Amino acid sequence: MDKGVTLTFVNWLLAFLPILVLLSTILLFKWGAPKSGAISWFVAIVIGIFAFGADSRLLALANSKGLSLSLYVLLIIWGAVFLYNLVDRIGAIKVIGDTMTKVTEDRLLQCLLMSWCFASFMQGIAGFGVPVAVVAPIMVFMGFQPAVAAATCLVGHSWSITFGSMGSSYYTIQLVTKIPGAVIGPWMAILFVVPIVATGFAVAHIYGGMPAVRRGAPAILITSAVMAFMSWFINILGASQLATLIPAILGCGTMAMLSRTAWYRADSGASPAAQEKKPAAMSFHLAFVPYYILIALSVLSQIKDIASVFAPFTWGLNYPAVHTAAGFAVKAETMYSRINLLSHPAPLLVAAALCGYAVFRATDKWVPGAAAKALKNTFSQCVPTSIGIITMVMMALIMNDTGMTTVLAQGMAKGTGVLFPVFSPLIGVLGSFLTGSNTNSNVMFGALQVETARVLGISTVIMAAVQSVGGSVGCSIAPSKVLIGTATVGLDGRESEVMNRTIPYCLIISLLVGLNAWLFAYVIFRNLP
Amino acid sequence: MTANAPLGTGNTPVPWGKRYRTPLMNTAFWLFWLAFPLAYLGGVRGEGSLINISFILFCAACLVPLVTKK
Repeated sequence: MDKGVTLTFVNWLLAFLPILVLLSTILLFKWGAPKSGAISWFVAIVIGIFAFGADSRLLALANSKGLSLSLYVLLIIWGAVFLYNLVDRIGAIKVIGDTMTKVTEDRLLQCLLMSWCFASFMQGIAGFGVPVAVVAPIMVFMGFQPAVAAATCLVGHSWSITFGSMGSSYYTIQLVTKIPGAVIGPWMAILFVVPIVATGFAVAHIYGGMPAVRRGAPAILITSAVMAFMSWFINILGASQLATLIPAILGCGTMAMLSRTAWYRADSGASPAAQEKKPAAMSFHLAFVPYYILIALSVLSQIKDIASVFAPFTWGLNYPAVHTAAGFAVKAETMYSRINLLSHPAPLLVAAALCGYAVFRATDKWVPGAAAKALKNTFSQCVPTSIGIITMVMMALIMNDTGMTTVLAQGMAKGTGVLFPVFSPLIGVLGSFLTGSNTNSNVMFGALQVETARVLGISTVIMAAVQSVGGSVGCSIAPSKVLIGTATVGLDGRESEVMNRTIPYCLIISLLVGLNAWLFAYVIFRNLP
Repeated sequence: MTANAPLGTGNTPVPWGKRYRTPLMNTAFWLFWLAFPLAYLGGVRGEGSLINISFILFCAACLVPLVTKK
């Protein structure tokens, strides 16, 4: 589809400038996401016109695509925040938080259980930012600092994204690379061993530094072994869409069992929520009803016969093919960023809220006016977040449609040579950073990774798998995901506090994955196709 | 959204950007969605006037966080 501007160092720097502006304003100047996103959008527009040959029509379509994608994400955020606010008004969040603290009073294990295992379980059924939106505020209620709750959730569940959401990213990498799932699935599971272990240690480190890493090591290693083996085994069985869900459930169970062992039975500081011994206003199961319904609806939505009934209820826009003056061609899109009444999480979130309302009302737990107050809070919480997401996604789509993103990826591939596998996950990270989605990252860079592997004469299967693993890990620093975390834990405008915590771990884990891929591609599995 | 002393009280004048932050951000939010169909239709049909209007709205919406947010 390409061509576009020639790859030179100056063009590469210009292509990198919008991201540099975004990162530096958030991390160095401590600007909020809406302000950083807005200035980056202006920079992308100017560079797109003057250096990459974009015209006003191409930019208008790129902005429109950006809003289409934003609408998809924002409906989830608004739905998840509304559901949380509603459940919180009823008093159910307090009950959920209290119960979670009773599984173990060990704060470190609570942190690992919630952000590493339970958030991954949520990723297995819902994904699209829901794990962060649901788990992070519960952790805040349990007594964790808001920034720690958001950062641990973002990093902790980043191993689970490719096979999460019933395998949406996993199917995408197959489509763009033409590598069958039976071939690439088990290799992806093997390459995910490093992120599974590393995200566990990262969560412990974010929570309590090296002492927490040392104390948490037995639990992290044992739970990692269970989750990594199950992920691989389920791939071997051919049920890859469950290769997050089942390992995460077993991870929760393993963590709960480990909390009763000699390593963790000793009291290490119970949470404030656990110390309150007041009788609960309702049972855990009643409090969790809206989330049970969400889980049930998410599973039902994956059943093909049911999905086919709702297939006609899909909305999406068609976009024509366009090209820049420099010759970069953008393909036509049909039903871009399609929103289906059943497969999109927002209708499921609303349905869960409505069913929850019915159940709470029937059991006499409903608080009059809760829905109106929840809606009002949701609006005031979500508007700044929405502006941040809209501006950043529009910037990303301008970069994508003017060829800046391709120049960036080509430059990374050319500049690294035989070390390409080491840096290859960073291309996946870049895609996720820009779009907030492992799936979109795979769409953007899956083919590029495979082409580069062919040029270098190394395994295309491993490099395609690495792309998706990098994309999964990269979701922990994607501004649109970070914004979900900050919006739901009450850190609006303080995204830098969370990103400063997640970026180092994301980069370290990506490089570890890269080293693993280099060993596989050049040393251990040189003959793999 | 802000946790300041009551606006307009005391000796320190409150900047207008801070005073009107919430309504301006709400306006910016709706401006994006107003510009969305114009950008789409303008781009698909190749109508310059719709494209130009959408850009004016996008620029106005993006200026709001630049002048009101920290």
